[in-house]
Amino acid sequence: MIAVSIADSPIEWASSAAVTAVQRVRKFLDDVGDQSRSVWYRNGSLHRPCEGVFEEMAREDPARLISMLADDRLMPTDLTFAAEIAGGIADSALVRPALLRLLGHPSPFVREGAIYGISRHMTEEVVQRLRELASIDPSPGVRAAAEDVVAGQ
Amino acid sequence: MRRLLRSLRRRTTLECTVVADIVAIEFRTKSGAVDLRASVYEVCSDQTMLVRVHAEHYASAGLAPARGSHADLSGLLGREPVKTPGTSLFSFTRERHRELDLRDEHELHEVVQRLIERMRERRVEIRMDELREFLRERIANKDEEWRCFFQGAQGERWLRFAGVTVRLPHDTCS
Repeated sequence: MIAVSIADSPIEWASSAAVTAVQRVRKFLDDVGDQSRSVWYRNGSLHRPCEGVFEEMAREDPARLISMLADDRLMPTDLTFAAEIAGGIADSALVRPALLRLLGHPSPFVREGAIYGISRHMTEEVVQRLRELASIDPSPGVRAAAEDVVAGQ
Repeated sequence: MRRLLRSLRRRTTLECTVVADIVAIEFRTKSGAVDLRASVYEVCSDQTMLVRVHAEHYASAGLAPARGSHADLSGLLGREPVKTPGTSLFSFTRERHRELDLRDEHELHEVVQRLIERMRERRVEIRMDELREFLRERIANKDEEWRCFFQGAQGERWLRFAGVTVRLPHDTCS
């Protein structure tokens, strides 16, 4: 005999189907958001990447913000602020590797943002990397930002 | 000569020649909208005044003391900015705070394009030693607004930057 689980009443069934549908829509929007550079779904609505959203993520879902830094799907003009704001996350073990990687990003905007972010997670390794940037980075703006952080130590 | 100083979020903006990128970096609100009421400071081009604007802007924004990059937007819009009080901790920059009154995003792009074409003459950079000297002068003259700032959360960092190791006494600041 096969046991089939069905709802006890049509109302319950309809309610269950509605919940499933909502979950599917959410999953779809999450996927769309993750694949898009310009918009993603979060907390019940669609968001464009912006400082306000990055700040909220740094507070409420820091691991997700860090994963966004790592997957390079943000535009450099957004990633620069995401990197700086991620610097406010207290867990250095989580933040530092992602920002160290961004110090080598092709966009000078991103490298500059990463410098400001990582300035709150300094170690000897970070100081050494910033000294390198201050002397050899092709962007004068990045060199100046790195110099300032090293000088402030 | 009058200047309309826009404090830049990124020094690397001065190297950028892509209008859309400069708009995205320098002219967006925290919520991601294009900022058609962007803040500027109206000052004369005397370097002392420019350093003062830089110092007061950075201190009010909770930033660390650092050299700074600004862009002079004077004359690029073709009409006067709107005088608004701003949120500076210092009366000088509150008094000189203005907002651009841009009609739409297209007009902003035109302003940024003109800025890119003249970036060499429009960039205003403040050096660390200029900022340090300005702070020391304020401390020496017992400037009341700066004294209150130094007693706040960021004060110690700025005093250390200025080379002053002794904190000012806690008293009359509210």
